[in-house]
Order: sequence, then C-alpha cells, then structure tokens
Amino acid sequence: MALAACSRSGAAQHGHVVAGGQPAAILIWAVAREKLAGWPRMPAPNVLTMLGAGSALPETGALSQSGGRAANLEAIAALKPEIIIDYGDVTPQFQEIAARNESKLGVPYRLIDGRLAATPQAFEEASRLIGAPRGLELAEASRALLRQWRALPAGPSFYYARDADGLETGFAGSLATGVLDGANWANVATGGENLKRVQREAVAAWDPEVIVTLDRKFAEGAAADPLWRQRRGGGKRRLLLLPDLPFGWIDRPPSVNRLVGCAWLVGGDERALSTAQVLYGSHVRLGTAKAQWIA
Amino acid sequence: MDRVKPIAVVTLAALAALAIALWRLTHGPLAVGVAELLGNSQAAHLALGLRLPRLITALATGAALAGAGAALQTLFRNPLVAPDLLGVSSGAALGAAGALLLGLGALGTQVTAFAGGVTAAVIALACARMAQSHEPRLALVLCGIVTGALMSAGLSAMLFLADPYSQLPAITFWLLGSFGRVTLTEAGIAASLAAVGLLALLCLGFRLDVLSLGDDQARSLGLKPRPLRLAAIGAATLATSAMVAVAGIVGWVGLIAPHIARLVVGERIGALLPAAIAIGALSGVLLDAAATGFGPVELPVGLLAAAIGAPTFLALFVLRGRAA
Amino acid sequence: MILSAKHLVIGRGRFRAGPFDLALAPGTITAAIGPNGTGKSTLLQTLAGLIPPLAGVLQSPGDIAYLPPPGSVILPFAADYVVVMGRAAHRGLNPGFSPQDWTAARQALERVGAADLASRRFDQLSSGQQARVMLARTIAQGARLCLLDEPMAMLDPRGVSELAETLRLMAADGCALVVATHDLDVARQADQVIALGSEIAAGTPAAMLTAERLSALYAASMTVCHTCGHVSTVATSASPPTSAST
Repeated sequence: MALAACSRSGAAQHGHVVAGGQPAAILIWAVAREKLAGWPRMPAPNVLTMLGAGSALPETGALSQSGGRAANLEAIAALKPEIIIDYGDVTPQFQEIAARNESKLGVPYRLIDGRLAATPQAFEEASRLIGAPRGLELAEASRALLRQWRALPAGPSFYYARDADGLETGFAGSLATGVLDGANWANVATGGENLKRVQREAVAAWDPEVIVTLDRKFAEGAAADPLWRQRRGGGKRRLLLLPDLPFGWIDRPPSVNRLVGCAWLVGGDERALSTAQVLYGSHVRLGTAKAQWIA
Repeated sequence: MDRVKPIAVVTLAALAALAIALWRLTHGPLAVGVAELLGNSQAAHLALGLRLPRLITALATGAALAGAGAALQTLFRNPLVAPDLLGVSSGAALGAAGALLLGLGALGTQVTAFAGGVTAAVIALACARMAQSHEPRLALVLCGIVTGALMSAGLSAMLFLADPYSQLPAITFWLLGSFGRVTLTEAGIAASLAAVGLLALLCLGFRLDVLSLGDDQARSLGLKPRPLRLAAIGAATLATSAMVAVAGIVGWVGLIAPHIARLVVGERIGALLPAAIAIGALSGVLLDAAATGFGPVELPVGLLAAAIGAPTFLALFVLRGRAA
Repeated sequence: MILSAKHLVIGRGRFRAGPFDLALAPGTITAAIGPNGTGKSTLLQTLAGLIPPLAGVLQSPGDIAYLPPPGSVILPFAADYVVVMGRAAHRGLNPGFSPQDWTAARQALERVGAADLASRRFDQLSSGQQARVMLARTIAQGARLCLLDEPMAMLDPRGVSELAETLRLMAADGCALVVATHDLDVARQADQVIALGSEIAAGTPAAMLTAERLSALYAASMTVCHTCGHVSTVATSASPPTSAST
C-alpha cells in the first residue's frame, strides 16, 4: 500500500494536514502544498507530473462520502495529522460525520463551505486553520476573479455532457454547472435537480447552442454524430471540450479547480494558465491542456 | 381454467407492442408532426434517429429475455429460473464495468459486455461438465449460481477501483439499465443476434418439453439430451447476452413474462414460447414508455422493471394458486 | 432376433447380476419376474440402452421404447400431448408434431381405452389412468422393442386383463416386448420368462414357473394349481422351504 512506501523512505515526507476528500486536497494543495498529508484519491501519473508532486504522497482514501475508496482510520492516525479539513457540503448531516470522525481520531475535523461563490472565504478559512498566509493572497485573487466572472455578458445556451455517453448532466443550479451558470451562460437542462440522467431526445428538444464536456472520448464520438450536432433550425451545434488537467476546469471535483474555468471564461487561455499557476504552482505548464472548440 | 388460443394471445400482444411502438415513434419531446416524420426533413431524421434505436432495443430486449426465460424455465422444470441462470447478467456487468474503467468507449463496452455474458455461461457449463453429476440440471443451476457470484465479486472490485467522479456513476448507471444508449446500427446488430437465438429456441420446439422430463425419459423417447440441452442453453445465452450488452441489466421481465404466458396459454412450449416472446416485447416497450414518460429525466429501466416486477410476480403467484 | 445378449452382466452402483444370455424374437412377449430389488428395472434399463452393461455383448435395434414404472413421472401436460411426445424420435429437425403424429397419438389412446382422457391434465389423472396414458405413449413410439417396467402395478383386475390384451396386440404387430411384472398369471401367458433372483435364468413359462423355482425365487411357500396353473403363495420366513409342498 502507498503508506508502506511512506514509512520505508524513513523521515516523514508528508505534511500533517489530512484532506477529508479530494476537493479538500486540492484546496490544501493550493494553500499550503507542503503540508498535505496525502491524496484521498491518487491522481493519475500525468497529473502528478504536471503538479510537480515529486515525492509521491500516499493515498489516504476518503473520510467523507465522496465515494471510491474509504479511508482506513488507523492508517490516517498513523500519519499523525494535526488537523483534518473537508471541503464541500456543510449541511448538518456532514457536520455529524465530522464530529464523529473527530471523536474517533482525536484530531480536529473542520468543514469548509464548498460553494463556488464562497471560494474567497474558503481560502481565508483554510489559511487560518492551516496557518498559511498564502491563503489570504489566494482569497484576494479569487475575489477579483469572481467579480469579473460575475460581470460577464450573457453567454450561449449550453448542455453539460458528463459521463462517457454524455447523458448525465447537471441541471440548472447544480454544483457541476456552477461555473457556467454563474457566468450567465444559459443551462438548457431544466425540470430536474443536481446530477441526473436524461434522454437523448430531451437534449435534442432543448436544442442548446453549445455542448460542454470534460470527456475527450465523448467529444470525439459526438463530434462526428449528427444526432448530437444537428440543431433544430438546421445549423451545427458547437462542441466545447474543456480540459481536466490537472483537475477538471469546471467540475470533477467541485473544488477550487473550478477557478480555472472561471478564469478561462474571463480571459481565455492566458488567464486560465496564470490562474492555474497561482493555484497549483508557478512551475505548472498546461501544455496541450487548452479549451478546445471542436468543429 | 380455460386456455385462450395461443395464436390469439401472440397476435394481441404483438399488435399491442407495435401500436405502442408506433405511438412512441411519433410522440416525444421533439414534437415532430406525423406528416413531417414521413417526409425527408432534417427534423424527421433527427427524431427517428433518436427514437428508432430505443424502440428496437426495447422490443428486442423484452422479447429476448422473455423467450430465454421461458425456454430455461421449461428446460429446468423450475418456475424460478430466469435468463440469468448461468450468471450471464453478472458476466456482462463485469465486462461492461471493465470496459468503462478502461475507457473503451460505447462500442467497446457493448462488445466486452457481450463477451462477459457468454464467458460466464461457458464457465458455468464447463464446471457443470466437470462435476459429472447424475443430476445435470441441478449441477448447471449450482454452477450458474457460483459463476454469477464470482462475476459479482469481480464487479465489486471494479466499483472499488473506479473514479468516484467519472467512472463510478457511469458504471452504476450502466447497471441500472437503459434502452437509449445505442445507435441504430448497434441496436440492429444486437436485435439480430437475439433473433437468431430466439429462432433457434423456436426450432427446438417440443424437444424442450421432452428435455424437461429428464435425461432418462428423453433418451427413452429417442432424443439425445446433452447436445439438445447445450443448444438450448447456447441459444438462450446468445439472445440474453446480446441484449444485456446494449441495455444493461433488466431483470424480472425474463422471469415474469413466461409466467403470464403460462397462465394464459398453458405449459406446452409450442404455445408458451411465442406467447412469452410477444408478451416480453410488449413489456419492453411499456417499460421504455414508463422510463421516458416523466419529463427529461430518464428513469432506469432496470429499476422500473424491479419496482413493477416484484409485486406483479406476487400477484401472479396468488392468481396461480387460485386457478390450480 | 430383435435383441441378443451374450454373457451379459448388468449392474448399477454396488448391484451386479449375471452373466446371462438372452434372445428376443419379434412378436414375442417376455416376462421378467423376481422379488423386489433383484434388478428388474436395471435389466430393462440396460436392455433399453439407458445404462451401460458391465460386461458382455448386447445387440439391440435402434428404436427402443422404455416405459418407466408408474408414478415416476410428473407431467403438467395434457394426456394427448404426453402421448404425442412418443413421436419425438420421428420428427427429425421439425419443431412440432404433424397431424399424422396427433392421429397416431389418438389411436394409441384408443387402444388403451383412454381416448376420453385426451384433453385432461396428466398429473390430475388417477394412477391407473396415468399408467394407460404412458402405455399409449409407448405404443405411439412405434418401436420394435418395448420394455415395460411394471405396467400393471396400478391397474384393477379389469385393467390388467385389458392391458394383457393390448400387449398381445402390440406383439401381433411385430413388436418384441419385455414386461417386468409381479403378476404370475400374466407371466404364464408370455412366450418367455426371465427370472431374476440369485442368478438370472430364462426359459419357457412352463419351465420357469414351477413351484420349486418360484418358492426359491420369492422365498415363500408357493403352489401351482395343476388345472389352471394359478399360483398361490403362503409367506414364510426369509429362508426357502426345505421340502416341496403339494
């Protein structure tokens, strides 16, 4: 297990701030990456390379409900955490889980509100909890970005295609489409809530101007499929493929990585790159990870 | 209880299925008029291109599962037998999950799922052959249960490995079943394979009834039980795997449609099989209508089949008890 | 000869019997007698080709009909369908039965006096009626060798006599019949008798159905009426009597 590799290397190379879930890990990486104890879910090798995460952090599993591999509480304790931070849902149900984990591990377990609009406050809170002044700079930068993002002129109507076949979508107002909804793009998916599967014919009936996706495979398939591209008025629907490197630009997971999407909407590839460098490290090069309008 | 003439049942069910299919072809979120549909406009192509594959899949899945279920229930003289007897559904699920984990795309997922289903059946058959039991049918059922359990364990492993944000939801939704995932070509191929399997079962005809008497009786009536049973199971597996590969796991139809058919036309396979197939096709389009009739959100057909199927099975059970 | 067996040893599980020789000519009736557990069913199933013989040579025709003992089949089908299944071997690749098959089935039912049972469900018939329907199926098979395992077990005296008549008609059509039975009066009317006891022996009824042989076979005190040939039995202990009684 990855934890074994950690102890073999002798002196602890990991930090002492444990992330309750992957969204929290990204937040902590942005604020104080040297203090991150491990990844709840090990990112793919190309992501680690891009982040310059040279000494591999162990995989800790998720303490929160985000699914996938659950954490081994004993293994978490062995990391000698000073604090555990979770980032996302702060409803009473999750407060209760936090309290239970705190009592089990004897380590402070704090929840931070994961709403996109509250990102500056999230940076400030993380900065305070971890003791990293960098968080305050991030808070300022994100405040400015979000102001510009909110002031964007109305954008096209869109459908967010999630999943390999593109039939899962975030309805208007959902977490997954927050970046585009807030930028005054019009989410065509109405009549439902959060993430749901829809019929292909419903998408055709909604007739969005743009299909947005993070999934390259889906984009390649849909690009050539008239049933996805054909608009009701006869024109061709535009297809926007947003990168998911190092993390999804608008979703996957719903964390501070979404700021890169906001940045792209405000100032294109340049702004996206600079935001990514601010978040993940100045050494980050996005390379070919650019937003692509597929013809 | 008076038996209704089988030909009447088959015709009625088939006509009802076609009627519903036609209605669904002409009505949907894309509000395209019937006149326009018959024309050559882009809107017509779009609407038909989206609706036709669904309907073909719905009809074929219902028919295939019901036909396979009827044949296997007869072969094993067991009313609790479903097309999943040899672990075909579990094998297909494992194949699909693996494909989704590897990112093989839609077609790759279908092919892998089909292969998984067939493999599960082959493993079960091979194990039963190795057992060399005096009760070959019992051996098959047991080996099928074991194979299904093995495949399910493998599936659980895949779920564990999956990325919770992208792959896990995809696998979960594949498992819940949907008729709207495939292109016209893919639906056509799957339906053709299923048709081959069903045709083979229809050709076996009365031999399925003779096999249901047991190997000794079958032999004493001049038939060779082993190859015939293999052919029947092979045909049922082909039909089931083909449709599960494109539609996901749709349970209960394969169990219940034969029971309904039996209640109406009796036990003889000559009447039972066509009736079950027709009733299955009807169930398929009804399930599809239910899955897509409530706004843009698509309800998973597997879920609907279970929600409708379980109480229906109970009702049938009670009815049969009263009729006997 | 429809069937010939030389030095045949039959057996199943731990049971073995033989070796013995047997020859069956067409149009003959052979009765197989013996106490329970001596292998009558095993003998019939071996001759039918359902169980392999343990040793020896067995030459039998391709078309053989085997009638299992009464009560061993549970069928939810109508009686006429049960009978027409006897035509299964004649259908080749055809998925169904032809009108000729159904006619043959009906005729077979008439032969056994069960024509009125045609549309009744088999598992709702009395055991006697079921026995007739199963015999009708055997007739419908039209095989040259028919092996019947205790077909008379469930029948009343009239049924037994009708069955015996039916068997004679089957033999007259050229079929070779082997009938396992406990009814020694019927055995007496057969062309050949096989006795399964400590060893297997075959011969004419006159030779096999003597008081001495029967008493030894059944471990009971048995007498044979000199006039009508009827056999009477007085059950004693398991060991055979030391002297022949008259």
